[in-house]
Amino acid sequence: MSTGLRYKSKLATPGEPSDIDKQYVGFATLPNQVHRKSVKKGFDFTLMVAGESGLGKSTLVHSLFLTDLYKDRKLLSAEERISQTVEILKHTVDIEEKGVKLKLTIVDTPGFGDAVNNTECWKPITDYVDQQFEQYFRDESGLNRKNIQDNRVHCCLYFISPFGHGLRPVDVGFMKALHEKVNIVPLIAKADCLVPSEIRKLKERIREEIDKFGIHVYQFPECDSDEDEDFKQQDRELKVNIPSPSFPQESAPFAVIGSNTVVEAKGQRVRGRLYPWGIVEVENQAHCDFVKLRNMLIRTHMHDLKDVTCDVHYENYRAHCIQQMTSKLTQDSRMESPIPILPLPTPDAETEKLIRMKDEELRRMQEMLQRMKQQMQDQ
Amino acid sequence: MAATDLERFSNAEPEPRSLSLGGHVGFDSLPDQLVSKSVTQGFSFNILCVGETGIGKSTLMNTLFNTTFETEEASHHEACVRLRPQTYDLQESNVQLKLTIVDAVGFGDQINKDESYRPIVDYIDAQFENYLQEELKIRRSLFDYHDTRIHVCLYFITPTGHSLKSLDLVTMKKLDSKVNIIPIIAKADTISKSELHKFKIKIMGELVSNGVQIYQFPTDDEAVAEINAVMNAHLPFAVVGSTEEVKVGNKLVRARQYPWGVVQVENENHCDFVKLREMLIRVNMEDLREQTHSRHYELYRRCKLEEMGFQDSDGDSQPFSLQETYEAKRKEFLSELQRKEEEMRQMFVNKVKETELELKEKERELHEKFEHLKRVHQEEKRKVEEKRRELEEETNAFNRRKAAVEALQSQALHATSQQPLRKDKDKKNRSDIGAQQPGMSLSSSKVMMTKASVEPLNCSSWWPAIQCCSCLVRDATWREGFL
Repeated sequence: MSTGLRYKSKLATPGEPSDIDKQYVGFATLPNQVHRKSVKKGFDFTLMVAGESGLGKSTLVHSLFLTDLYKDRKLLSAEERISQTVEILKHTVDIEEKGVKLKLTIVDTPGFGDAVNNTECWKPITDYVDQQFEQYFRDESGLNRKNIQDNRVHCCLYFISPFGHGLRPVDVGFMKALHEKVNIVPLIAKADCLVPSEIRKLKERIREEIDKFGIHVYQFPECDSDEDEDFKQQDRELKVNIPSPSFPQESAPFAVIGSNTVVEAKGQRVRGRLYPWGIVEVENQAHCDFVKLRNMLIRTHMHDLKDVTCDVHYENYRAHCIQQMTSKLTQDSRMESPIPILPLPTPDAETEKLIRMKDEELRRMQEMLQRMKQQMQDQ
Repeated sequence: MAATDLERFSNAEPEPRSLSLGGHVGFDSLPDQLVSKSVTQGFSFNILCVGETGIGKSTLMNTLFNTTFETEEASHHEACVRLRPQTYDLQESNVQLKLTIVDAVGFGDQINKDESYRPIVDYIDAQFENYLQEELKIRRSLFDYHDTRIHVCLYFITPTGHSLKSLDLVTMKKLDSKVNIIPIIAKADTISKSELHKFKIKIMGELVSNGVQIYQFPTDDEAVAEINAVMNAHLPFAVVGSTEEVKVGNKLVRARQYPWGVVQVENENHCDFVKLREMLIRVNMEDLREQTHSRHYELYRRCKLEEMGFQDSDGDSQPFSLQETYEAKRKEFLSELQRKEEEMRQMFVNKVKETELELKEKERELHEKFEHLKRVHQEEKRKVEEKRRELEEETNAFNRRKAAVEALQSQALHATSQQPLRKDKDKKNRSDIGAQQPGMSLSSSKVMMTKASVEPLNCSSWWPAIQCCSCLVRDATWREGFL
């Protein structure tokens, strides 16, 4: 973990010792204090995994966090899945590394895309995400805010099937329903069925289709100039200038392979899959993008994912919620609000309607004027 | 009676005796004759490929037949499943094969896959129907007929490693009674050996427990019984398809090159492609065709004809001939038609009667109305006449009264001014006779004087008269002066 190394305190250029004492104030130690406090407080992270069953979601989570979250998981047979509905399952574990505690919650969505009729199968998932936002909203607006539990979903890993030619309708539907609520990171699952040229083609295809359908996936942020060289290098690897409006990274979507087993390869014990024709190493960058995904998700951008969730998605939800509530309140003053609402200077529905009508009329008038001018010019 | 009939029947055809030949006759060349005939005729084989888009159907076909069938990549966004048949003529040695590959495009892509199986089932039924129609024709040419019935359905299973998908189960259940299904695990280079074994067991278990009948390689023919039995245990075949060639050792083989190794298509260790090719093409192709004809097609035919009302045997267990049944059906149909026609005619007549009645009603009503109006009109006219008469009388009365009043008036006037009236008359006469004289003025002045009752002046003319006029004289001087 290089988080500690990023916040190097930069001392003033050393001159005479007395100069240092005179010039040095000491607030350069702030990052270290932040570091200490955060270690004491501990972190939490909620990760959602979604995709059709059989794409290796649980295996990948196992490989990412090196813990077995699913004990005695019951898989349904095909018959039972014909008309299955989507469930939401939460698994929470507390893991610790070098004194840093992480409360990791994995939200699983078994049954997604499994039934024969999958219309609106993403609805339970959007409802869940909204529910978490609402819960946080109430807690935040409550009187006692000491122990707020943040259950909001910080990141959603969406698994795309590698057996097709690109995105399927159910993929598009899911991503469009959730891209404004949660950070979506699309992944190509089971990438060991694709040769490198096919992987490239599929990634391009998926990037094109994501642009075409207007889906907003998670963007990696720009790095600051005083970050580490390593970090910058890695970031550069993650993004290469390719002319594509919403997807600057070349590696994304990541083509990943997961494995629960450790195999022996070239005298080393590695995590991988054993085939008659060779051994796929999960952590080999030439074989798949698992390492890139892990670095991005855990080692560098975990906190940014949380920030984007708090600053962007949650704020959108909150503003939307408040607007709805105030418009309802002005219509029906008997409704009690669960949170204290300050009278906002939002215009009520009536005047808004009038304003809109007047705008329409104005526009029509202008158009007519234009047309008349045109006619006059032609003559 | 029936028993003795049967006896006679069995006695007529005794059990055939088997004899041994004294020398070589030569009818052992019969199979060869059959073979040469069928070779000249050519064979036709129809494969249906059902599986998700991108699962490797076209690649597998290319690999199986070692050629490139031109097909474009399908998109994931088809609105519904459609079938795309393509026919190719292949030749190997001197055997001609008319191969038709039918692709189920768009299968598994829609969000709602409830009706995905229907286009496939309809297509298969349509091919059976075409053949049935040809068979029932009066002038038919079955030997020349291009058989489009599907002989085998290769069902591509997605290698999830867990079990079948719900869509797979539903579709295979609908297809198992119509076509020979051979399930295949596609893109098998994504499953390791141990996982594959578990996966196969799971799939077969699910198929059996749901009563899906897949095609079993026949084990009744001794020549191929053994190999078929072995292969049956390897179902479903896990295949990898590839048309690219990779150098392995010092040969070029069809394979897929990964960073971690090379998957060889024809290596039995790597995948079951060789087994599939063996079973599908080299050993059991003819059996597949036969099964399609004798089992699936016959089932279809029976159901269809039963639907139409045909039966194989009467209550007396006398075999019906198709012709008689056909005649009976036809008569029935015609009588039905006639009955319906009668019905319709009845209905029509009834309707006409009804409408006529209605019209009559209306006519009567109109007539009444007309009469009524006429009467009213007469009334009005009469009243108007009366009024007119009254008015006339009044006018007459008024005129009479007016005349009377005038007469009275003129009488009154006559009485008061009779003389002036006469003098006037004389004057009038004189004036008519002689010239005008100043005496006229005198006379008139006299009238005036008479009316005014004043003394008449004795003057010769008017001037002195005026001078003498008392009313004009004020004092004597004037008078004297003047006179």
